[in-house]
Amino acid sequence: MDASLPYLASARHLWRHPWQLGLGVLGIALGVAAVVAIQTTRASVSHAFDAATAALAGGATHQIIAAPPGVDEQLLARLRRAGVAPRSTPIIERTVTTLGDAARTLTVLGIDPFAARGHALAGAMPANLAFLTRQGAYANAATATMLGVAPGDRLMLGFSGGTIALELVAIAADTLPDELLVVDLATAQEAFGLAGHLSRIDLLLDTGADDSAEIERRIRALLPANHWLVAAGTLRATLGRLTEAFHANLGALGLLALLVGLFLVYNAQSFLVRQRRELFGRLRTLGVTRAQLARVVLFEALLFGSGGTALGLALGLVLARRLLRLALQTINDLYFHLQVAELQLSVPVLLGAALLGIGGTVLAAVPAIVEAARASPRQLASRIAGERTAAKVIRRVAMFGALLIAIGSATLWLPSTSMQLGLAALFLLLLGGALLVPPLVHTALGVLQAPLGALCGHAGFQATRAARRNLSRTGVAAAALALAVASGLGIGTMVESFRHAVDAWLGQMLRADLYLSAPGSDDYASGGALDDALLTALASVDGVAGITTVRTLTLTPPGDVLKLTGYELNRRAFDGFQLLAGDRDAIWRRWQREPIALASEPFARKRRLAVGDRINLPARAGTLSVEIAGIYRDYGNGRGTLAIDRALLENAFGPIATSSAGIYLSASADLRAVQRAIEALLPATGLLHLRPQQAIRDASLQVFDRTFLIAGVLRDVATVIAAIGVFAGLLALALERTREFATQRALGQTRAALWWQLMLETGLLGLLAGLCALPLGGLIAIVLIDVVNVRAFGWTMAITIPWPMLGHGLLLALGAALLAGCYPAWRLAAQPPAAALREE
Amino acid sequence: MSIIEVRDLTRQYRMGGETLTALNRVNLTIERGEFVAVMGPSGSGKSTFLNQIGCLDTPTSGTVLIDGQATDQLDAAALAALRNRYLGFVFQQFNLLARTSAIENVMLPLLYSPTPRAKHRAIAMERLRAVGLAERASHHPSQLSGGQQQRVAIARALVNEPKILLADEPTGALDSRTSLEIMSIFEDLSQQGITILLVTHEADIAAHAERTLFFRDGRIQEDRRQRPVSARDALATAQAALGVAAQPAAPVSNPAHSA
Repeated sequence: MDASLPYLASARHLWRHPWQLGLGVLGIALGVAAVVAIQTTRASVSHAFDAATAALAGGATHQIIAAPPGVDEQLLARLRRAGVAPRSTPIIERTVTTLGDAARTLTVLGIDPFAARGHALAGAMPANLAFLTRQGAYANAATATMLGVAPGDRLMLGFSGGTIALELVAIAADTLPDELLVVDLATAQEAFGLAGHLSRIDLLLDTGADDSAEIERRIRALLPANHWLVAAGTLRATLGRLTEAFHANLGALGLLALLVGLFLVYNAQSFLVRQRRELFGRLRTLGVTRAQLARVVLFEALLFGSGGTALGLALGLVLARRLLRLALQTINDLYFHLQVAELQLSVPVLLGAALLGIGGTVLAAVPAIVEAARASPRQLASRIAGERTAAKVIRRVAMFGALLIAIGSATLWLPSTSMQLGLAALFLLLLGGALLVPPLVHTALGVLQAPLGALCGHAGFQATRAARRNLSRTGVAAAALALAVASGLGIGTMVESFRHAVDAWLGQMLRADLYLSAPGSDDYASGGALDDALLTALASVDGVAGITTVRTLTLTPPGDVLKLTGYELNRRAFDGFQLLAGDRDAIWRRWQREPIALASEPFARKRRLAVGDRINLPARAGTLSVEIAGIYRDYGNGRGTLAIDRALLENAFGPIATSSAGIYLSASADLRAVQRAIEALLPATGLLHLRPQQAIRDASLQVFDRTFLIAGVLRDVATVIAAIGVFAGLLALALERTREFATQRALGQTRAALWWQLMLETGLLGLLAGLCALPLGGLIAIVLIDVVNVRAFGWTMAITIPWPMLGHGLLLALGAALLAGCYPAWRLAAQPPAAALREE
Repeated sequence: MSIIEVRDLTRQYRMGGETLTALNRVNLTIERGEFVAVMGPSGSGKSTFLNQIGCLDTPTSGTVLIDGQATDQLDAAALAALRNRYLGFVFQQFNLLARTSAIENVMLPLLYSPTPRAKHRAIAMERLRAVGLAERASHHPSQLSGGQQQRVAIARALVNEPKILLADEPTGALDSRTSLEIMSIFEDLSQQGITILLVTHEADIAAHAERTLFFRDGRIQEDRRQRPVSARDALATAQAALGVAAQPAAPVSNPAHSA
């Protein structure tokens, strides 16, 4: 027998069913695209982050960092005198913003051009060292264009301590990172109020030398209190780790889309095999061996997988462009400033996605391959035998689904804080739940048969019967649809609950009528734009009843990032804290008298702190030891915050610039009039922002909504994949049933009755899949809210059931199924029965 | 009035830019109660002819009148009603719905008829009993032999008491003994007054009809009347020859026609 015969026969069959072929390939492509998009986005963000870290570290191997106010400048001379760090560069690094409405964030780096000779940044330094004397700065051409300045132009930039005026004196080489302004060290120290202090000292140590450990020991011996020698990039690596939860959540969403995609690949593959049972049976009768048939199906899977994967890779990169923008926005909103990243084509990501696409397709085809290889020629030729096998598979799959749910539930009960384990449990539950959809729909159709028959006549009776009978073919599509709708509902419920919780939290937290804020909340500087004189002037404005202030400080002991907030509070503002643990009145009594702190929920969870525990913080001189008196709800910061009294903060760290002030009005005051009076007091630089409470609330919710745009995009991708799958499934099934419908029409069924039957059939399938999606979506929401988010961010919240969304989910499932049924119904109704009866 | 009248019936197909004429200006009348066999080589147009009579396809030109009603004047819904109430179909491959019991298959045409639903099961059971399969009513097609499946198909075709039975190669997938059983059922139905149009390529099957139409190249080459060979007698002879205890199928009675 010619070995190419089975391949030719198969190819001709596929050629005659181009829709099915196309939709199968598209299903794979979309699944792969989701994974490529997410992984490429993650790789691009990581690359941008690493590049920025490496560029700013300037090739240094180590850094000396310190608790605020920073590294003692004298240390540099001591290190050099001791001869332990001949190549050391003093650095000041600060985040600033441009003034005006569309503020851009930039990094100002203060260096000593003579000490920086060994530093990588020196390579990009212009030959003209005019910036040394005239508060000058240099930047690369891209940054100058972005800022709209040319050499000789002046720039006004803001930071929490006030404004800084710089003049662009030269354009540096392109090797200088974007969004970076380099100034002389003395200029930076003066502008940022850091006289005598440095952000860090970059060291280039010979780490390969025999005495490197000894050198490090000698450097450590020279360090004053609260100064640390760390490997270069440690701080940024710590910051980078903060985004792990965000990345993991993204990855989870991508896998969800792939899971739906794989369901559809399985669906397409099994359809293609079942449709050709008779052909395979005939080929087996003609002498084609089981191994040869298995090879044909395997070859097809490889071909589909490759085609779909190639398309998916291209689509994924297009999608990645959009996702990257959204991811950068979120990272900038929630974590730290990251400059615009280029899309990074990562070979491992592309290879991994290709492997997943092709491998997943082959894996999904395994049951079909086994079925084609195992059955006898007689069984293959019998459609009924195929149905019996499929029914048996459904039962087995249902049992497997129940087992997965049991394992997933057990995993959730494990006493662990691992987010990955939480996500793994979620996937087990999802997969298990999806596998239970076909048997549940089967049972429901059995129950509905009599009432629907009574309600809709013969169409109801036939639709329920046919839907039930064909579930071995449509079950996977129904499961994929349920999974996609459930994902949408689960993520939607999580986002809605979260939004509800954030809104309520903002409502309680934002007690003042007006808020005045300075840019850059993590800077350490005294004085500043929001200085005491201005605060006193504000307090005397007519209608102002009181003022509270906030000062923030970021501590970076090795391997950690701690946000410390010093509050100057009144009781009304203090009541804004939503306490999860601790006695409110007792804390208020002790607030200004004792070294106590309120820990935000993420802070307490990540450090496993409870009320009554103590925490030691590296202070300017020695250690600040505070007792955790209460734990409060805080959705504003994933890193966690420790709130203490202003006096306690400034006693330990020295004077710190006020980053924002809450202005409370008297009951009779007119908000607009007070706002105008305060605006008249503000400096004309535009550095300070005065906003009413509602505007802050709106802006916060806007940031929130932006954060979850990515989730929305990925949820939509999963839904589109499922809709395509349902369409492909129903189309294939309808085409397969051409003769069945033609027989019914020969026996007197009208076109309208055929339409009605098919619409009822697909509608029932969609509706039941949607109904299955409700509890599955609820399960996803519960695991996301109570397990994954708590483990990832440390946030707890009450579940808000979004009732309209449930209705929307049901309608989506119903609509997708009905829409998918329209074309097959039209096709079957339009075809003369004689032609349909002739079709194979 | 003839029950079937065909005037200048032409059916052409477009295939790869070429026009194929499957039926070429066919004219014919069939009287009520006639048992007509349609024979001819493959591609001669016999199945196309049957599809036209059965309103399963539309002609390129010409007219088919069923009981005086011109089918080209009827819309799709009226044609469906005509198929449901006037015509019964029996196919070579039986075309029973899989995973559906015998009685449910027989009930299928009743679902599209005005017959009250409460009566469906009883009527279907009666037809099954008529073809000797009452005890197999709950069996699925996969649990029935080829002959039994065809008998279910016949019961289904008779359930709405049609005036015309159209059978396309009804014995094509059956052995000779089972074929005789099926033909003896057709013989009974014909005797009860049902008009039967049977497409076959087997001369010994066509011999059971009283009239044979020979198709060639889309035209009726010969319209021959003959004395039909009794299928019931042939079955008894065959069974005797094989030494099988003669147990001929019970005569099929169609209440509508035997009344």
